[in-house]
Amino acid sequence: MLVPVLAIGGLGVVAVMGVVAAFIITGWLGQPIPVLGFEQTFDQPIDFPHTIHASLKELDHVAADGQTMEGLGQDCTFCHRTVTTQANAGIPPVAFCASCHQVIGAEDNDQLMILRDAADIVGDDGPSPVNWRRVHRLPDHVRFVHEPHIRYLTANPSEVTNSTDGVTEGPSGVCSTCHGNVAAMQQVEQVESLKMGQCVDCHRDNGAPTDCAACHY
Amino acid sequence: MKLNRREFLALTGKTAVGAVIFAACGLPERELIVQSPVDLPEDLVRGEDAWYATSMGDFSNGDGVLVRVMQGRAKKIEGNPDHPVTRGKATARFDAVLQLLYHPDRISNPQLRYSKTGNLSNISWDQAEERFANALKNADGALTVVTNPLRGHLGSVASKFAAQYNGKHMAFDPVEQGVLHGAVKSVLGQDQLPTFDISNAQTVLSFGADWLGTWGSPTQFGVKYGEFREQHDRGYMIHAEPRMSLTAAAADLWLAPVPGTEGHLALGIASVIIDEGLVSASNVAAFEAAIPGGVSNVTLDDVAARTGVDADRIKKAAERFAEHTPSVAFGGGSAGAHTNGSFNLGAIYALNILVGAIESKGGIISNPGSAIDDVPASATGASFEAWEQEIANWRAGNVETVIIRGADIVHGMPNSVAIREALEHVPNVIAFGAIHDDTMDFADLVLPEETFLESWGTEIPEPGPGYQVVGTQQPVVGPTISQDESGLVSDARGFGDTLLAMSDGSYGRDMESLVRGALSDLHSTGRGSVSAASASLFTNGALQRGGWWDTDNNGSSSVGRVATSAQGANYSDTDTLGEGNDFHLVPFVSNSIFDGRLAAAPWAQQTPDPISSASWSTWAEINSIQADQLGIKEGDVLLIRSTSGEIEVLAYPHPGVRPGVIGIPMGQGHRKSGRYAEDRGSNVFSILVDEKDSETGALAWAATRVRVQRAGKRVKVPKFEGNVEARPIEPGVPVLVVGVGETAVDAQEANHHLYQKQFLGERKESGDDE
Repeated sequence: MLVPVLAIGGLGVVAVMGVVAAFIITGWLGQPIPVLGFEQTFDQPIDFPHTIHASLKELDHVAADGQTMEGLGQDCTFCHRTVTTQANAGIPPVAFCASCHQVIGAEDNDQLMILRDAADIVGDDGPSPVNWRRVHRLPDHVRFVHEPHIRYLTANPSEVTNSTDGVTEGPSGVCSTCHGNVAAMQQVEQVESLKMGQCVDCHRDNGAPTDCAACHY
Repeated sequence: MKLNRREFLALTGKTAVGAVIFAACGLPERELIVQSPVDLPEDLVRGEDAWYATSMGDFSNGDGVLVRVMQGRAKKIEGNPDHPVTRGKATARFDAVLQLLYHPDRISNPQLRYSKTGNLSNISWDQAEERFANALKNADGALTVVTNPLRGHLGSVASKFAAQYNGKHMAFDPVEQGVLHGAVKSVLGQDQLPTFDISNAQTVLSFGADWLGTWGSPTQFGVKYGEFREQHDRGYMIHAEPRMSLTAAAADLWLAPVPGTEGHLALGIASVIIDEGLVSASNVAAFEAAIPGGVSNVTLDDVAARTGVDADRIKKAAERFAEHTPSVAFGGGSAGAHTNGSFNLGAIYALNILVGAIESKGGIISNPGSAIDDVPASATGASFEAWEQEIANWRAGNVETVIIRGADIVHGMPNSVAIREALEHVPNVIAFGAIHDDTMDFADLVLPEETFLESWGTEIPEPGPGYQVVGTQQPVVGPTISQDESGLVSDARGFGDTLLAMSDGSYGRDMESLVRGALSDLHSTGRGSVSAASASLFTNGALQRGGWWDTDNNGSSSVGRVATSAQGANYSDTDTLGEGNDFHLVPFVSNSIFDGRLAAAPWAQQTPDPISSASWSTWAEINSIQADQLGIKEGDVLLIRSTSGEIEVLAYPHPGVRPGVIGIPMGQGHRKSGRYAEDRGSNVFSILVDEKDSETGALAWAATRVRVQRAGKRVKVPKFEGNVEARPIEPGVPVLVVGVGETAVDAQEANHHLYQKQFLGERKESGDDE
């Protein structure tokens, strides 16, 4: 391979090496490996705090009136409704958020106002969807279905890894295995590698199929 | 590095290729986006609800309601705007009754008591039906079906089931309406209770009946009262009752007669009208024909002395009643619950003859009979006299099987009939109900019953609106799943369905087919509020509207005569009751828990009484001046003693009670009725004496005299009134005063400026702001 590269001369080498380096860097950004630690996270269109909604513990931040706050302890499945039945966990529709937040939450809360605007409770630009940044993403050639994973781990809680500050019973108690302690995250970040090695290790430990077609089909 | 032209072009081309490759390797933006759609999918909570029209079953006199159902759960009950009785209005009881559907103490399974002294054990419905069938084997001629007064198909099925076994269907109503039905029949010649055109009346004169709170059809009357007060002079309302009820509180003139003298008060009013020549001679002649002996011997002073109402006030009421017509007079409640109850109510209803108010605008409007054959449009409890005989039969062992539904006879009967002992002598006592009541303590077989929200039926309102109405009742929810999702809240079945399943099948298969059949028959008449091409469309139309009505089918009256067998009231003795002061006991129906049928619902329990604001307890309203004289303070525990027994209540001194009268609400004192009602308050029914109306044999439940003694302890009365210290409100905008030649806008501005000066001062108001 080097022969044709070297044949194009010094500048050509620099250019090709630059392309290769760019490819690697881009690939790493898209699918990070835990060499330097990744903790991938994004700023979202709305600063949605999983802590307030999912945690069962006292929160770090205090309310506007100075009172300490505890999380609501909502089930993960309250919002991610299809996680026990479908491939995707499901993102709640704007109308679902608004069913509470049209009355709950301060009127001058900037973040809630973005939601209320999207739900057309305020403003006059009509309803609009919210485009969240995906934090946990698997490559296109991987088919991951939430339903069997949730079902298995719910029935075998001893296989659940990572603790959670949220609900520990039922389907909501198993999410932490792949997603970490989301109930303690002000902003959701990826804490597990979610690389093929992790998938295969877990499948092997739990007697799940490890043939290629289990995920790549 | 030195570049020639060729190298430069090559490098540029390679860089461009590299840039293309670089861009292709990156993640497209859409891959990193996950979107919250705007709308909810179909299967999620959409905030959209379904409303079903149905009837209120046992908890009103035929109110048509709409039930809000979300995801299979009934959430709210409102008045049905289409229904001619409720016309979209509701009472607090509509809200509370919903709690019986989800009550944590609902009976979940059939229960059997293997021996009279044993405990109840859960059994299956198959076992229950086998036991039921066994109880009917030897019941021919020895069966009694006991229900609350039932109209519509449920009443029809209960009567036919009893008849199949040559038994009796007896209705029990602790607040007997038999005297009222008797008076309406004798004076107006009507089998159904009439309605009153309050909306178009100028003067309303009522006696004893708390028609805005609990009597008759409060929802219907409440709507009419609103219209009555919307008239240009707001109408004029006179109410006579020994204690201030919700109705008395709304009246322009409240008369508080001695209990049992309401008939004399009516005759006194009539005598003033006749003496002053305020009505036509023909009306006077018709009135005197209806009152044997007329009122020629009635004098105003005598009436004032007997009733304890000032002559001037009687005169004022009479003049207003006769001169500001249309007028209407009616009565019921405690006015008819005396030994002379028939006379009292007869004299009251006869006043309508005097002012020509029968079948006229603003007067009494009669109701027609049932639109469906064999389905009763009117129902009242059997007389207390009949009950005494029946219970004697039970005690003598002459009755093999008693089936009880909707009637807590152990709670509602006075001690004098010894109902508990009688039930122990009946071999098979079968009780239906949603929540365990006092009567079920004596039942051998307890069967969980569906609420009106889960079952089929029809309901004919009484009093109706003046024309034929058939209200429909349909299951608006299915069986409710328990909170832990382990099973049903209650494996209940309908009373009617169970009786039909145990019957020979000659009068129906199930309640749904009966209701659909009846609606199909109505369709074939070709009249009424629903018109449809086919019977099935007609049925759906009627169910969607909550019923069927025919405004062209009205009732009629034929004036008769007032029963005058006993004009004076008798009261029970207190001579042997030990220490204390004598009072006249006037029990009254609770505004929220009624006669106790809603005691199990905590919302009903916590609804404050409209007069005292008390809740969750049994209190005694006693005149505050008299209480001062006797040293009785609010919260003092009083022993209320009659010849039938003794109860404890909390004193509530109050100016709105006639001196010498003690008013006690009904409905508390259950030994069983779910966790919210058990052992709460006292049961005033238990201390009623067995005095009866001389005409009908109905229990004279307001004829008991009691001896009242302080028990020497005090408990805080649970009430809202007085719990929060009164404080001045914020200064408000003054009433708008519009001067001569001034527009409303000018006046508004001027007043606003005056108001603002309080806060801004002259300087800021004038705009001289630094």
